[in-house]
Amino acid sequence: MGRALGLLHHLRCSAEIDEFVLTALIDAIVELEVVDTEPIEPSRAEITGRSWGELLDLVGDLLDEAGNIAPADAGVFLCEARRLQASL
Amino acid sequence: MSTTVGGLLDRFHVLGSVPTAQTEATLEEIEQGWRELARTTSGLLNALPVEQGSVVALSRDVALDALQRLAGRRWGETAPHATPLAEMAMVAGAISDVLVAHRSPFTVAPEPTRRARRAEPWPYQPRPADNAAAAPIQQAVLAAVGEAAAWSLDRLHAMTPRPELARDLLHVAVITEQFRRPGRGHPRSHLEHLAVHTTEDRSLTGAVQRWGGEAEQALHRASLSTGSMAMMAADLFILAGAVKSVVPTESAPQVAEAIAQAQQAWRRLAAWPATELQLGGKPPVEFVAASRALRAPTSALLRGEGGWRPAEAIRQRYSSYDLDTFAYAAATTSQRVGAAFHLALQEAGTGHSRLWRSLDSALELDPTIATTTATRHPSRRAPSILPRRWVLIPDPGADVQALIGHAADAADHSQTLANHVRALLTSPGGTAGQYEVVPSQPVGRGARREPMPATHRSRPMSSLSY
Repeated sequence: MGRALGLLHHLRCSAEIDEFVLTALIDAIVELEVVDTEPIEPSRAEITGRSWGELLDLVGDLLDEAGNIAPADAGVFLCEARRLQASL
Repeated sequence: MSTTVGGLLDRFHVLGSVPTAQTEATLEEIEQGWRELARTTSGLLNALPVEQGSVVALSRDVALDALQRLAGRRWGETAPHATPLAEMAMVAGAISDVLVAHRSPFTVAPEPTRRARRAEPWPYQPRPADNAAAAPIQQAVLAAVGEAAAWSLDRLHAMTPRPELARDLLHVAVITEQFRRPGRGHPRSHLEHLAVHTTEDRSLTGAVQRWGGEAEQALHRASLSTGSMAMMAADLFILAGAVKSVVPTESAPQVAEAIAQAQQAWRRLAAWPATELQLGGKPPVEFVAASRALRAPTSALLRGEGGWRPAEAIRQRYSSYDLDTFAYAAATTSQRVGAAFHLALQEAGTGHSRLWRSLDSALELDPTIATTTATRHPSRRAPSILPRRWVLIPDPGADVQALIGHAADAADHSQTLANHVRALLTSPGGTAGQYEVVPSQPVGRGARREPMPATHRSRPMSSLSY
């Protein structure tokens, strides 16, 4: 979950995204903060060459692996971010 | 549609202008009505942010002196009569309640009072003096009170003589003569957009106000978390966009510029700071809920598939009054929360810092920092030595100072935007001239429904509610 949170922070800080997509990402971050997750900064290899959508998919995979309630809530906001980004 | 100070003033004015034929009040009803009206109107005049020593203050003091002679105590056990005077008294009380309820600016760390051990976060402070905002409301109030005094005198002519009451009413009628004119025109005050909301209120303005209250609570030290601060900055970014979509900026390029600067500043803070800096509090659940409850209707009402709807399309869809009240609430709440955000971040980042730094980033600032920590479990003799990933260091570092500087800039931009919106909403060339004032009907004995006068605008469109 720490890696997922680190990646979410990376996505929030680095991409030029719509304000509502941004807040959906922040919603997911807040859900992970509730369970005392410490962010782990993503490695260069982890993020190089991956698009915004691919990184979002990676976050989703990491949350699926963690598999408890809070990541599930965060996953809802990831889907929302993806949907909003696609609608723009 | 939210109840606003402006809406209540319109009602107050209509009640004051009730023609004599519609009021069949008895002497007792008039006397009792004036006791209550004079008392609540005095409270209202005292709640206005009038600059001491000014002509406006002098005019208020003369009116207060005249009303003092008519004022009585509360109704107590006597039920109020259903007369326009009694209703005016209630409306005046409501206006002063709204003025007082919109509280003083945020304080980061309020001092606990001696009596109560718990801190009192929101001590009431008088609103800063602002004659430009106070004078139009004072004039409107005195005009309506003067009208009511005039028709009350007319009624007294046909009754048993009561010289003291007639003299006091005549005094009120004379000193308010200069303010009496048909209708309420300009100038208007930006305070007229202060709105009343309840927890069940489903207007967008209500959502903004609830969000503002929760945001201020969330900025207290125990609940500062990276996520909630980023969420607040992103919400302020969204609110600046919402103001852009409801304010007709084509006539005011300085407003468009202020909006763009506020958007840019809050966007930068929403991406704050990278992963090497964190605030360790628990995200405040109430604020997170208020934030989501603000964004959902904002998106539903003001955005379409491709982003924000154009201002013209929104102006065609919703009433000007609703949109202006929302713009006022969004701009002034952003100003207040923006200033609070800056103060809270400044307090968190300086002195006894509460910002956690990743170990790698902390070692760059201070290579002597311990990379492990020892924790002793009660059942074990030797302590466990664990690696540290996050450290709390007293020296904030240049990046934290830069972050605080960005927050100060963003708060300044929100303040500038709020100033522009206030000016736009109250200028004769702004949007206020387009409002349709729907006269409310008097109540009580003799009240009769009059046909609505024609206005230059069609009936307002749908309300900015969800």
